Amino acid sequence: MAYIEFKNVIKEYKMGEITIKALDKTNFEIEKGELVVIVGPSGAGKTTTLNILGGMDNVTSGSVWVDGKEVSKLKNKELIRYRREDIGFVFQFYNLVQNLTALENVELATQICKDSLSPEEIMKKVGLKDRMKNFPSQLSGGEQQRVAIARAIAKNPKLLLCDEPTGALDYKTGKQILKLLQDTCRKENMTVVIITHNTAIAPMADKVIFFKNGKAEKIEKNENPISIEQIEW
Amino acid sequence: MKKALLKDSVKEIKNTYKRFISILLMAFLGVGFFAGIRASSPDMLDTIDQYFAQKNVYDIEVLSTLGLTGEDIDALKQIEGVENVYGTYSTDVLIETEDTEAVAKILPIEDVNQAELVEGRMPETNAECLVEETYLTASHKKIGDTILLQVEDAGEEGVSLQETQVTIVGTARSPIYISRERGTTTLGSGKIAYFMYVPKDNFVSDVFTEIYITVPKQEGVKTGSTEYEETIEVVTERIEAIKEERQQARYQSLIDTANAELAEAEQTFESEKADAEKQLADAQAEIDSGRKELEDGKQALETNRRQVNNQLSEAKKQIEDAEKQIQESEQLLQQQETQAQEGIVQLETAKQEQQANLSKLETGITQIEENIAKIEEQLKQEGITEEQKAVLQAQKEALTEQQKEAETQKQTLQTAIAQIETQIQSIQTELETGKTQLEQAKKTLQTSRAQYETNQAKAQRELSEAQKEIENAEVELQEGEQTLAEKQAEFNTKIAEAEGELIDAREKIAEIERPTWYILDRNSNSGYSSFIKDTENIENLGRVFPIVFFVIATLISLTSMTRMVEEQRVQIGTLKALGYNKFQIASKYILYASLACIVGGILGMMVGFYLLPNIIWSMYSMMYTITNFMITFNWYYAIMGLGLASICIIGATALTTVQTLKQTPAELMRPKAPKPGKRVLLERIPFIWKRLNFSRKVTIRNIFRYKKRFFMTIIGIAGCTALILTGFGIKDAISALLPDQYEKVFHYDMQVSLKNALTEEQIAELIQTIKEKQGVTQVVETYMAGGTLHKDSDQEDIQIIVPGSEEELEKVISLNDVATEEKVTLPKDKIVITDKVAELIGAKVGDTVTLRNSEDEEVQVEVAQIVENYISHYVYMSKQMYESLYGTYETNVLFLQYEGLSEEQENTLSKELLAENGVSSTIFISSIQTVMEDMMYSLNYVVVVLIVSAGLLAFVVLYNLANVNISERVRELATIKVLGFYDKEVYQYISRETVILTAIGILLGLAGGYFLSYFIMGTCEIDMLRFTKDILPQSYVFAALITIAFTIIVNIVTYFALKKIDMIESLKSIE
Repeated sequence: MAYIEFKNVIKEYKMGEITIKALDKTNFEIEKGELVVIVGPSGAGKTTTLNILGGMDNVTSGSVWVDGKEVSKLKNKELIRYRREDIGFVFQFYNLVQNLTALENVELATQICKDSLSPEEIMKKVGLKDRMKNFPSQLSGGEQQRVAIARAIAKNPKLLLCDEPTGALDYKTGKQILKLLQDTCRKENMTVVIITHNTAIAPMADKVIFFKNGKAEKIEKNENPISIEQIEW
Repeated sequence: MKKALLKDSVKEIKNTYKRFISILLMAFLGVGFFAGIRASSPDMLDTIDQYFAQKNVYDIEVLSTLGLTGEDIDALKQIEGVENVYGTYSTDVLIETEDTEAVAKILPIEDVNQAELVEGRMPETNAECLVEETYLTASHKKIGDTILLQVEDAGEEGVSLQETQVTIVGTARSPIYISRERGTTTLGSGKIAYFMYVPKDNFVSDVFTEIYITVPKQEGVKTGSTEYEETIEVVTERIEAIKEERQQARYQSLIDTANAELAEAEQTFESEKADAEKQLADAQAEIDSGRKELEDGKQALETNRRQVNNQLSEAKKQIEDAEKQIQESEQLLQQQETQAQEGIVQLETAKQEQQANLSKLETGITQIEENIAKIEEQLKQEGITEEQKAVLQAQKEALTEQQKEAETQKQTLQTAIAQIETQIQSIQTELETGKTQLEQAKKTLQTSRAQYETNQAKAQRELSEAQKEIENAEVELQEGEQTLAEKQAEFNTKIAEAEGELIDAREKIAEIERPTWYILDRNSNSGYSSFIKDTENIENLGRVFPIVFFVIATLISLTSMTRMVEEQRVQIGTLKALGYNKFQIASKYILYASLACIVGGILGMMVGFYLLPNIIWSMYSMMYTITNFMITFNWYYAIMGLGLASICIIGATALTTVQTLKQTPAELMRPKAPKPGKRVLLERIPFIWKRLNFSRKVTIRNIFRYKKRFFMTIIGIAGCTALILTGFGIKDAISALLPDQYEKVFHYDMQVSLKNALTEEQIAELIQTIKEKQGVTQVVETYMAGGTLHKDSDQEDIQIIVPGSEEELEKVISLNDVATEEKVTLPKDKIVITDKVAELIGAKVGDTVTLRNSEDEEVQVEVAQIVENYISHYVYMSKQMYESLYGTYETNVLFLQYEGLSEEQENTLSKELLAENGVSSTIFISSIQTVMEDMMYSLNYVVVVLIVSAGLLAFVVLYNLANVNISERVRELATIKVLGFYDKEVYQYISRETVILTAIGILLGLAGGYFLSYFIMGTCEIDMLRFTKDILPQSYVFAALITIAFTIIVNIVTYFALKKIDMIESLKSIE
């Protein structure tokens, strides 16, 4: 069994009388330590997949397995624990707590985790050693995203989920963020899933999953992922 | 508004119904409370206005120290602005109620100040009356029973009643006695206990005791209003203008009457004096003539006496002369007798010779005759011859011749003897005659003497009688003189007296006081004025409370609407980009707010206008006898309340919308830059900051981050707590009143009023009797009387208490300085007053105030100290001072203390005391307490209303703030949820802030509540009462607990709201 398995996952949203199928029998697998890039057009079900994977949403039918645990069957509290212990999230808009300094934002995550890493260490790792005491509003977008990543990985999660992490960033900064994610994956042997609609970055991934109409239409395994520095778009 | 927009607006309400309802509730509470509380006072004023109009209650009352006349009425009728003038009477009487004596005010049944019949019927005859219900209860009498009205003899100027034995035919209320206060009197206990209505005809009086004036009622001008007061002021001034003239007229008429009376009296005096003088002179003349007569009589008597004496002595002389003559005659007679005796002897001798001759002769004769007889016999013998016969015959003839001769001799002899005898006889006769004459003379003499003696005696008697008469006359005369002297003296005194009286009368005329008119308006009626004051108190309450409500409601609505507009930035931006103008866009939010505001406001009005005035009325109706409470839909306050609410809520909405609309569509569609984080001051104190754990730090930083919300929450919670605490504070103040008065100040258990004019011995005896009663431990003598205290233009009714002995008083009344709480002693020349009256008339220690007693005597006194007191007003002074002010001191009230008496025993004691001669009434504290407790109970309603309203507000505020808080920070919350915070942790993340804010809010609220209740108590305090402004510790606790309870409820709601936060939705959109 793979580290992560999506089996016949269907997700329907009821909007009044209309039922929208966000996921329609999605199937894929991810191995531990893989850097996975999910690409596809808007409304293809990428974010839904990520939400379900991150324990933020439940499935209508089908099953989701993460590290031998059937996430799709978890109850509310177990789901929270799953998020708390196993998942790290990175959003497009960083979602930092404005009222906390960079370090504190990281601490916000570590204080609820058992095997958390030292926030200061993580901050050093993401290259924000000198910006720890700054508030989000005092940081650039890229720096903020680094804080967000630091917050996500400080929990020492099994899975790092990133939803358009570079969507709000410029090219150069975006590249640096992707580099950080790639490095994290490689160095920490962390499973990282990145959603993007920028197919250009696909070569950096170990696996690329193409989404279309709620289905993982194509899964490509990349035997030789290249470093992000080498990718231009 | 475009159709699409309208649809959007309606949907918006549907989608955010919670927000809509919370704004609606804000408007509901704000408007409802404002309108309700504000309308209470006008409703009460409407009620009294209506009641007074219905009962034709006077607007102006005119009183005069010397009564009022029909001419005064005529003069008053001429005044512009006067509608009707009624001259009426009233008087105070003593009535018996259930062993006690009480004073009742007798009022006439009149067109003015009409009695309101409660039960029974109106009196039809002078012997019928209406009483108040409380009298029936107190006296255990019922309709149909009779009462004896004891009218005090008030002299010629006073008012008396034709019928004093009257039958109760019904019960009534009086518009001039709407409260329990009946005023003071000079009778009995000094306090009027009841009023009674009798027909006006029952009064007997020369002058009117009162004149009541009504002023035409103007539409829309309510009693007590400024317009009303102004109207009355104008008319009062006009009356003031004729006052002097009328006073003078009354004075003049009194003077004229008195002068006329005096003149008449003088005339009578003069004529009576002349009469008396004439009588005296007559009497003198009579006495004088009597004296003269007496003198004459004396003289006459003397003359008489002399005359009589003369006559008597003359008579005596005559008698003596006659005696002498008689003596001489007797001598002569004796001589003659002797001579006659001798002659008689000779004659006798002669006679005897003759006699002897005669006898011989007669013997011869007899022999002859015998011889003759023998011859004749022989002759007669038969046989005698003739010769014999002729011899015999010749013998016989010889013998007859012899006889004849003898006879002649005899005759001669006899003649001689006869002669002798005649001679003797004549001598004897002569002698006899002499004797007889003498005897006669003697007899005459005797008669004369007797007559003389009789005469003498008679004269003597007559004289002595005359003497006596004269003496009597003299005595009489002397008596007459004495009487005259007495009469004269009497006359002199009487004249002096009469002259004195005339002088007095003249002096009295000079002393006739100029009458003083008192022109009073309704405010001098204690029931009315306290009612008006109460409405003012409620008005004051209505000024403060709703404002707090409004401020909070507005702030909260503002927050809600701001949040709403902010949430919809993007939509606003979109609409703007689509080309909708500002007004069209803003109209959605304004519509939203308006709907909430108007619907809530109207609902609030409906509930508020009905509920609050009714609750407040139900409390005041215990103190006033006015019925038919009028609840009107008060358009003024309706519009004002709704207007205020609209300005606040809709205005706030418009403001935020407009501010937002100023931005360009592009700006709007971009997320609003999140508020940057900031370090708080506390972080600069590493000592503390470092010790805080992470979540505390976050909480603290968050609290300071959302300053607006921080203040809103604190103000909201503080306001609500303050309102709740104020509610409790009012309750505390009210419930502390009785214990304060009857535990801190008064320690007696019973107050015993004594009848008037008891002697000291009687009082001492009575006290002894009372002391012997079971349980009685203390009997303290005092003098107590009603009066008023004045300073400048302020006046207040007070009770004067003068202890018989100050040491004794201490046992039953504690006089403690209001500021220092130290014991106060009564000075010799100053008074001690209670603190509320000091405040009301503005008197401070050392000020001079005017004390007027129940007899309207005014004295200037200095205030030595102000003492603590909670119910009513008292003036204390030492006996010494009282005596120096008014002369005499008389115990009229006894304060009793007793131990361990049950209610029944108390009643028995009271009955026993009332059976005592000198006791007029008893009041026991336990019964006062019961009555007051009942009254106070009603106040709790108001407090409950306040607490419930404030609690509701607290809930709405907290709920709203929580909602805003969540919606404002939904992203942050979603983030931490994503990070894997358990529900509880998420909740704590928020609630930690709420708890701190609530705590601060509560603390501030408790402090604010202290001041608010202090302020409200100050404005609402009834004049007779002094509220303790200390709120009980448990009230602080309760106020805090209630707020905490609401916070908990709101937090529970928050917990579920937090749980429902959709992470995906929240994080997906750009804020």
